[in-house]
Amino acid sequence: MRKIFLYLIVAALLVAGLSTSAAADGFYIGFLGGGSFLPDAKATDIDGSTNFSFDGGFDGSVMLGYDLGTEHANIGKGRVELEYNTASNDVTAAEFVEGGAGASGSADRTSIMLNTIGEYQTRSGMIIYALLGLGWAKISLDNIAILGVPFVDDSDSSLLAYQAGLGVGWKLSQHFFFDIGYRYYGTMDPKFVKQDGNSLDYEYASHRVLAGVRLHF
Amino acid sequence: MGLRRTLDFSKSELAGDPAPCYFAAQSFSKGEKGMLFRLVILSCLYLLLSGCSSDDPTRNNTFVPLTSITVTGTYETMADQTVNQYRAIGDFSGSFTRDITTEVSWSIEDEIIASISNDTGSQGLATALSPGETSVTAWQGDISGSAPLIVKDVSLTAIEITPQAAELPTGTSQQYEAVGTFSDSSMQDITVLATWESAEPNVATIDNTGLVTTLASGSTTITGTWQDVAASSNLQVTEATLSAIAITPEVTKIAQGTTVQFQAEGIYTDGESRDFTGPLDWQSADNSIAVVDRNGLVEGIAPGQVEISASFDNDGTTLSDTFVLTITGAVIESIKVTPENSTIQAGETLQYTATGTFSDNTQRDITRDVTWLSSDSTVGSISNSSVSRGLFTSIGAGTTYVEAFFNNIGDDTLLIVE
Repeated sequence: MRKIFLYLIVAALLVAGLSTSAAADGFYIGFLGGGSFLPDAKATDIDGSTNFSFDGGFDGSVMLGYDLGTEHANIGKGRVELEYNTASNDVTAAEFVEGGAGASGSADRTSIMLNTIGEYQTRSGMIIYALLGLGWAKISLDNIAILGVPFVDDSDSSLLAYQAGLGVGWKLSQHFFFDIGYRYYGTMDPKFVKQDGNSLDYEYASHRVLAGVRLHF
Repeated sequence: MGLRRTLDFSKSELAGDPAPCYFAAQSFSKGEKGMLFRLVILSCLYLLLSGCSSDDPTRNNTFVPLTSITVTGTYETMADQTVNQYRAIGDFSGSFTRDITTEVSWSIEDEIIASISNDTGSQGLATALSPGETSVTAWQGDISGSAPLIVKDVSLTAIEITPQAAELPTGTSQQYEAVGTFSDSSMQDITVLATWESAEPNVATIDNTGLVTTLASGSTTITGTWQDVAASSNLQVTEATLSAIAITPEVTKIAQGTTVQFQAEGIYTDGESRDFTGPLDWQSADNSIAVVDRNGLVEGIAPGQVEISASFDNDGTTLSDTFVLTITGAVIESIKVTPENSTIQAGETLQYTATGTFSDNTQRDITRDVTWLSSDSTVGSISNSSVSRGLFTSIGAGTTYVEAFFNNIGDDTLLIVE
C-alpha cells in the first residue's frame, strides 16, 4: 500500500510539471490519510451486550473523481468521486456489567464509496465543502480476545456503508488542492461468527479525520 | 425560505458570471448563508454525537475464571417441613463477585434430611424433610461451595400475620405475610406454606400466596393456618377508589451493589393517602444500572441515573408514577454492626443493624444488603430473610460473634446469651 502511494505522488508531480492547461474542471485523483476514531461498539450475543473500546488507528483513502467545475452549472459546483478506503483500529477493552476487562485484536475496514461533494468558495479562496457518500464495506474482526480468551477470530461481514462530512480545501497550484476534513462513517450492523460458533451482532461507526491532496488533470 | 432557495436555480442565476461558483448558496444573503452553515454544522454534530452513544452492557463477564463459591441460607437453621432459600455468590478471581444462584447446580449431602431444587424459578430452595444436619453444595464445573443445612425438630407455636387491621379501598390488592415462631423461639417466613382464607369472600378474596383482592365494601377476617396453628387479621374494605399512586425511595442516591426500598402510596377519592402495596408493576428503565423486584426493592448495578416506575391497572385505567434514582460508583470502606457487645437472655431476640461507610464519605443503613452470620449456631442464629434480616434469635447460653459481610468488608460484635 505504501508503494502505491509513492507511485501516485511521483506520477502526480510529473503530470503537474507537464500540464499547463487550466485545472479544476475534469478528472482528478487524490489521496487522504489520517486517523480513524471508533466510538465504543456494542457487540451483542446470546448472553447479552458487551461494549468494545478502541485505540485511534490509521485511515487512508485513494480517490478517482470528476470535478464539475464551471462547465456544469445546471448541476452546481462540486465533485463526484469513487473512494477506496481502509482503516484499522486496535481493541483495547471490553466492558461488561461488572466493569471493564482487557481485550486485544483489531477491527478492520475496507470500503468503496461513491461520494458527492458540494463546494462553496470564500472570497479568500478557501473552499468549504460538504460530503455525502454511499457504498460497500467489508468489516472484519481479527484475533479479538478478552483477557487472553479468544472471542472472535478472523470473521468478516460485507454490507452497505454511508458517510457524511465537512471539510476545507485550498488550491495550492494550477493542479493541486490541499484538503482537510472530518467524516462520520457508518455501516449497517455487521454480523460475525464467534469462536464458539455463535453469531455476534455488532455496530460499526468511525470518526474519520483526514488530510491529503488532489491532483486535477 | 432558505431551504426553498437551495432548489431554486433560476435562469438568470445560471446565465450570470460563472467564475466564482454555481453553488446555489452563492445567491443567498449573508444571514441565510450563516443559517445554512449552522444547520450543516449542527447536522454533523448530531451525527458525531449519535455515533458516540453506546448502551450500557448487559452481558456478564464470563471470561474471568470463577475461583470460589460462597453459599448462604436465608436461615441458619430451619424447622422441619419448612423451606429455606440458599444463594450462591461467585468470586471471580478476586475481580468481582456475582450472584450465581441460578447458574450453579445444587446438591444436598443427605436427601433424607432435605431436598433442594434445581428447577427454573426455584433454584437453591431447600425443603426440610426430617430433623438432622447435612450440607448444601453449589457446583459450577470443578468449583463448589457448601453451607450447613440444619433441620430442627421444633414445633410451630405461633403465627403473626401482617398487616394487622388493614383498611383497603375497593378494587385493590394487598400482600399478606405470615411469620411463624417455633418452639426454640426461631422465626421463619411461612407465607407460602400457610393456608389462607377470607371469612367474607364477597368482600375480599385471598389466594394461596397471601395476596388479598378487595371486591366490595364491608369487613372480613383474613386467616392464615399452618400445622394447626392459626392467626387472623381484620380487614376493612371502604368504598373509596384509587385515583393516583406516588412512589418514593428511602434515599435518592445509593452505591452500586446496595439496595433501596421504594414505598408506594395510593391517593384515593376520599382525599386520603394510604400505603399501597398492591400488585404494582415495577420497572427499571435500564436494568444495567438498577434492577427492581416485584416488591419495589431496587438494587444498584452500575453508576448512573435510572427511572424507576410503578404502574397499576385500575379497572382498565393505568395509574403510574416515576422516580429518578441515582446509583453512585462509591465502594464500601467499612461496616459498623450495632448494638455492640450486648447481653441477652436465652430465648430473647435482638435486632442488629449494619451501617456502611462508602468511599464518597456517605453512610447508610445496609442491614438488608449484608450477609449475617453467627459464629456459634448453638448459641443462636441470625436471620438473612427479607422480613427479619439481622434479627438474632438466641437458643442457648454461651458467647457468639455476630458478623456482617458485604463485598469482602466485614465487622463483628460480641453477644453473650445468659
